[in-house]
Amino acid sequence: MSLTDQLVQYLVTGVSIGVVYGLVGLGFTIIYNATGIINFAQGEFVMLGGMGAVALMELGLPLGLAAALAVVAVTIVGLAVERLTIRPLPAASIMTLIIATIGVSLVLKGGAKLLWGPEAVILPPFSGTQPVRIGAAGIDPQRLWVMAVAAVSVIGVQSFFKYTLTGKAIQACAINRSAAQLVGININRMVSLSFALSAAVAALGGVVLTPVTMMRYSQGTTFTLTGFLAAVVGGLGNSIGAVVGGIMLGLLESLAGGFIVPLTGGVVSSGYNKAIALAVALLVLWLRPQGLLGRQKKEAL
Amino acid sequence: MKPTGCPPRQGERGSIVLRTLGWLVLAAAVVTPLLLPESYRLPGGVGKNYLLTIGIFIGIHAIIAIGLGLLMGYAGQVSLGHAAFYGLGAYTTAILTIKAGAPPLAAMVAGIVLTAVVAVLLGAPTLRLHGHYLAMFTLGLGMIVQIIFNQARGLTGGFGGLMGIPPLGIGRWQLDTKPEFYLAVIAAVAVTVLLANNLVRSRIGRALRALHESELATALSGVDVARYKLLVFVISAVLASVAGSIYAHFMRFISPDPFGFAFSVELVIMVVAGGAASIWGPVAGAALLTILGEVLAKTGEQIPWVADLDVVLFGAVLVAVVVFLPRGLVSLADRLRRHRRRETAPSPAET
Amino acid sequence: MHQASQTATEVMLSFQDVSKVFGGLVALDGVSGHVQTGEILGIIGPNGAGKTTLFNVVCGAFPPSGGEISFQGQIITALPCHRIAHLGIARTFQNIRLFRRMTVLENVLVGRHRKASAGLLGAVLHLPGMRREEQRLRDDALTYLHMVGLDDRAEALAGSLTTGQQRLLEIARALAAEPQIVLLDEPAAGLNTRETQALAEFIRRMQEELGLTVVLIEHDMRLLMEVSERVLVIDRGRKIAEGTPSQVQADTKVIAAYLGDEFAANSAPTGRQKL
Repeated sequence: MSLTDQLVQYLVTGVSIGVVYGLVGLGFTIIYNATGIINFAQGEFVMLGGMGAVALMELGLPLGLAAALAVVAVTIVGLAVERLTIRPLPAASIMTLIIATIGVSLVLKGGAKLLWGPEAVILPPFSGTQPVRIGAAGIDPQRLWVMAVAAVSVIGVQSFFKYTLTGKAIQACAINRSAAQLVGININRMVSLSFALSAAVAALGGVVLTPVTMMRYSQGTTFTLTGFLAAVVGGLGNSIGAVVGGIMLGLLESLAGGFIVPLTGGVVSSGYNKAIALAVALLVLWLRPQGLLGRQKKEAL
Repeated sequence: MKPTGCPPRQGERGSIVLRTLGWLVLAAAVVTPLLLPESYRLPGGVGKNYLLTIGIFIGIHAIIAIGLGLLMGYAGQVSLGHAAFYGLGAYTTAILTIKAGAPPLAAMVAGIVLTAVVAVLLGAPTLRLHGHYLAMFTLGLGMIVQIIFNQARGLTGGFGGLMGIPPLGIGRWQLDTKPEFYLAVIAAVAVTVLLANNLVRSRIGRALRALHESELATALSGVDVARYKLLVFVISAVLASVAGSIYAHFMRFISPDPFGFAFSVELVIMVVAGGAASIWGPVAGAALLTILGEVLAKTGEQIPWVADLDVVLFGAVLVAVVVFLPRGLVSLADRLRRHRRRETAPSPAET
Repeated sequence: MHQASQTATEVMLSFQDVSKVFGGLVALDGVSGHVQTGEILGIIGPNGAGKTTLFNVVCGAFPPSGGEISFQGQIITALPCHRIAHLGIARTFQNIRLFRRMTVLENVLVGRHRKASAGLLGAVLHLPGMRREEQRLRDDALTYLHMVGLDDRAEALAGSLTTGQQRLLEIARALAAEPQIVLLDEPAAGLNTRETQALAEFIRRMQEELGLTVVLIEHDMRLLMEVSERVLVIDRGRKIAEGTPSQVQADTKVIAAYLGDEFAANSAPTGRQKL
């Protein structure tokens, strides 16, 4: 394959994994905007979406139904998480919330391990395995599905926030909680809704990605970390930023994987690609915590 | 209430009777495995050898946990990547003793130095962050280090790991029997507890407890807050490294597996469940989690699905501690005392 | 324990054209002033005028957006807090920043941190030198507690003290650093009349017996006018008046700032009012 074809491969791979990071990042952003909380269990929603769909298929359901039900189930899990762990701790310190949501993510991760064991599982691809040709490069059609589903999700979420009353109500909670309450917005319901939406979006990403990368109970953490970094790179609180950040990280990972070996003459193996993407993201987190698209933060006293 | 808790003031300890009792129980627990006859068997076929092994692991974990407890309980920094320092110690020891034939103690010191350097380099950016940024940053660092362990095949043996690590010892005197190793680990834990306790009850310890409550007021008292936070970070990293070296010499073989996020989180649970702002809390937490993990693994040999209960159970422990006992197990004694006092004599309303 | 103050005409602390902007909010807008060695300077102004922000900038909590601060001839703008503390500046806080879960004695011991030198080795091994130093620190700390009348509460948790006692503890903590200048931020807030009177006497003792320079932000007019030798008035981030207490009280700009322009025409408010 020529360099251009290789590049196309890497770009598609990078964007397809990147948009899933972006979806997780989007989920972080939704919950953060509504509550100021970072939900450490976000990545687990991705994992549960994928593995749940597999489990439902093993019960005999067709792919489409299994996928849909899995998303619904994970949405309910998201609601449960909010109801059982976030709502009872309204005055908790940041450290408490971090540790509590880590605990939740462990319970979800552990639950998956208990139900489905430690092995990786896979879903059948949505439209077969025949590669789609772009130039001389063959693209896995499932990756195109990932991008399509992600695009629809993002547009859906953005429209929801921009054009529906409920969406604006959730935004109001973030901007001014007491004012929102005063005009009759039910804060609890908005917070629940934000969790439900984040979980659904993440689960969708998990379902559509599992045919490509398989899924096992321990993968949630990687999605949590990379999704968070995506949100931070894009500017925490900025939904489009989260998706853009995710795509950037995915591209970095993919391109690094493709080009490290030729660039370093074989000294550095391609397995380092994730480490490189992570390192760059951590650098941004350190040097510019307001993200590449965020504004300069006000100094706190 | 924060699970990273509030450091106890001097004098706020249990009554003398309770403390003596506690010491006796501890001494009994420590000494018993050594005194058991070889043929003794607990239910499940567990014998002396197995108990000694668990004791060694509790000790190794306790050393890291004490360090992490200092970081979380006194400096208020959470680290989700401490397994990386554990791994650094283990791999440095392994690589230097196997490939360079270095004496074990020298390799351990080399591990300490390397870990300290890495901790200083990584600590500077880490400690400028707070809350979630800090948590995720340490998580990311830990992941990068584990990837390096997996990928640097020439140095670390990659997924397969390194084997043939010599036993721990000085010159011709080696710790090759389990009881000897057990005693050495107990001694190491005792020394760690002593030194950590000394640190806490010093000017530096006071400054750490103070900066946990108000960085500004502490800085204005002349404390270089950034340097002190870095100091605690490095100390906690070095302790993890020492534990890692001990682990390497015990197992005689290491692979990247134990040095990842799963163990980092377990360490945090040990600290939080035991009680972050104390020295004995993390030790208790280490004992709790190590024993719990072993019980599950052993039972899992008979009933397979029990082995998979570990993650769920650890998560449940964490959530339960955060909700019901934020200051950890060690605060139980305090709570019982206060509860009893309230029942015997009605106290006047506090101003 | 304290050096006698230098000649009264020397300037100990000066701030020139200091401004501080937070996002869109201008907290300080070109404030200039100075503190003479050995004097007691009062700073007054309506709520939100920027007085605490001025203290924060001076002691290094955050750098100013503009202007310079110098202490005994040395520019200290944007130095880190602990360096400024080592130069001899100490302060108390409007919202009381004590180490609540440490004992009263430990709070003062932390205040005395810079007067000790035991390093990591001494701390970890509890070497004899470190232990001797600890004993000395304790004795010194008890002396400071005695000064504010809290030595009998030395082992109590700082959080269990009354507001009045906590404010005194903050002052003891500040004094334990053996500073040259002490910035007191509303030390009388929450105190009753008797406690306020005792505080006034204590501030005077700080000046006369300990040779300290004191800068005092207060809303309690009686206390402030009673102890201050000079007063600075700040309103909406700007200095609007400066002079002796009686000069400032009669200043129409000051009256206008507090009570509105209608009252400015009339005579000055009495010192008893708490504004």
